[in-house]
Amino acid sequence: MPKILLVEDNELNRDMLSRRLIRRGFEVVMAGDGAEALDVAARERPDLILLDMSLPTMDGWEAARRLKADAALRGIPVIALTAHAMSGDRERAIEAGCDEFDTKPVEFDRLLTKMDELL
Amino acid sequence: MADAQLQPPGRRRLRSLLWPNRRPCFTDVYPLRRGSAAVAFASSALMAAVDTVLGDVAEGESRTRVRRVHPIVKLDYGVRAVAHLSIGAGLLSVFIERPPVQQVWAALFFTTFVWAHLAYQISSRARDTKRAELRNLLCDALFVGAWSAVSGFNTWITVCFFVTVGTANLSVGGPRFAATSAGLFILGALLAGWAAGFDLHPQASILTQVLISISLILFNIVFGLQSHLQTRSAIRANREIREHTRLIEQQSRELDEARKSAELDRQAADEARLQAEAANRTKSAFLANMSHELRTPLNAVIGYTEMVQEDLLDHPQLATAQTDLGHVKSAAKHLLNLINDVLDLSKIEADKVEVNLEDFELAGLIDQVASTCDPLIKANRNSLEVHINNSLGRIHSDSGRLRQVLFNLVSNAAKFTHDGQIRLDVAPHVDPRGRRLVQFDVTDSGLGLTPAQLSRLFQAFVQADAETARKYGGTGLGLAISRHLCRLLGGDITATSEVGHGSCFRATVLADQPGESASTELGAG
Repeated sequence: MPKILLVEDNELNRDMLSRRLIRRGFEVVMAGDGAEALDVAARERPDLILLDMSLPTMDGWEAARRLKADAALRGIPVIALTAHAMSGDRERAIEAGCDEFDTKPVEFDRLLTKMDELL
Repeated sequence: MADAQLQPPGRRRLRSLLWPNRRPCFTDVYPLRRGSAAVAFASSALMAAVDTVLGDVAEGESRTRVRRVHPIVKLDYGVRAVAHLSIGAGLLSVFIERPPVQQVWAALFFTTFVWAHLAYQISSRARDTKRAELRNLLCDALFVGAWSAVSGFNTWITVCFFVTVGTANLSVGGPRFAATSAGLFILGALLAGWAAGFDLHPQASILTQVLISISLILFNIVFGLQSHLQTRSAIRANREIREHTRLIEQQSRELDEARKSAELDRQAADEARLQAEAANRTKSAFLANMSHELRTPLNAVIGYTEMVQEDLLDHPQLATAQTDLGHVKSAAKHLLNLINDVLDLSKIEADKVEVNLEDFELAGLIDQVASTCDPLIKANRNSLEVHINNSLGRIHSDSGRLRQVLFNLVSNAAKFTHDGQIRLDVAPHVDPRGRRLVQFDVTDSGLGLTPAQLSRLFQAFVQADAETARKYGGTGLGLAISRHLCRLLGGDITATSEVGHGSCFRATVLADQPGESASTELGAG
């Protein structure tokens, strides 16, 4: 089963989204900020990363740039998630190296479609 | 020498000394009678009159040329009257004692008819009245010198003439001019002496002395008075100039102060503008953050609700709970829409709306809108008819924003119409300025609006009335946002309605919005 790295600082949302993904049969690993996300990604080698952009200490944009700068992790597709829903955010996320973009609140079916396309 | 001895004492003839064997001159042969002195005086007066008239003509002419008479011209005309009186008086007294010879008549004739004319001719060729006057004065010096010689170099007359002419010219033209005039005086004396014979009559009679004294006194009075008047007027002019200068300086200072104050005002306005811009940026950043903060818990609410709904699928006995969760979810989505609307309006008010221009198929977009609105249409048992003009293919605009506008219009129509019909007509339109637009008419058979309601329709946070808000929900921001978006896309929204007969909302956007995608972002969160 594909392994998903869910990077999300809000505990409730992390719990909710991870459980919904597990129900759909995904294996889920989690991180609470950008730095932790880089560690977990290096250790677990997930198949896809769901990356919240508003994170404490190291934010999603910085984490995405570092992931894409790392030769070993560059191949892992990243879907940026942000609650801002500004079109500028989408461009900024793509510039930072993210492969896809979705807004929060997450529309679960739409997110699954986007994940399927990248896996 | 025998001739010389015949002469009365004091009347030695200089010419016979210089040219002892000269031929007798006709004046020697025909000495003129004493009575002709009166004629000489009359001629002198006539000369003065002619001179004055011609002088006036010259003055008039020069006035048309240079438009202003130099003050020395005015000075001279006052003085000249007295000077002529002095000349006339002096000569009269001489000629009473010593009847004039023919040369004197010649000189009189010359002075009367040539002097004034010559002075006029010379001065009228001058560039301005001052030069004309100076030339006039030089002529005077020449002729007065001549008359001095004619008087037999009578000491009183010569001194009086020389002093009068010299003083006037020194005052009017300065030392160099006075020297020139003195030279001309001597030249005139020599020429006249040469023509008439250097008869020396240095002794002046009492009458001559008295007349000359009176005329000198008069001359001095007039000259002094004129000088005084001119000096006073010069001082007054000077004072006026100083006053004007002071006024100009004061105005210049006031202008400077006004400029400085305007500069300060501008700086204050700039500062206020910068502060307002900073406040606006703060507001935008705050709204972006708030939006994020509000969406995060909403994300959890919607997510968990969907999870529980999924859980309940296996428990048909809990159908009520399933329905209730459906209400939770729709309320949450409604809340999300409100947040999005408030955010949109803030962005519009902060001029931070992003427009993503792209080429897209209009028919596809209309299908999406129709299917998204389908549940809303059915909720009030309405039907939706869509008519798209076939000539419309792809357009260049912001599909997301256009979708938002159409969704707003159609959902409004669905909300306020029951058991009725809603039409969406899409057609090309060319406006009076020749721009190609696409026109979307959303017509319903619903409640309709009163003119008062129509007039407030596009204001933010305004619904038809408070009752409407309670009954139909919504923020009242939809139409305000939609109108802003349409204007951003080169068009507008207008509404027509009649109570009880439904409404028609017409949205237009440019079919080919120029420019690339332009996007701005709110503060980072």
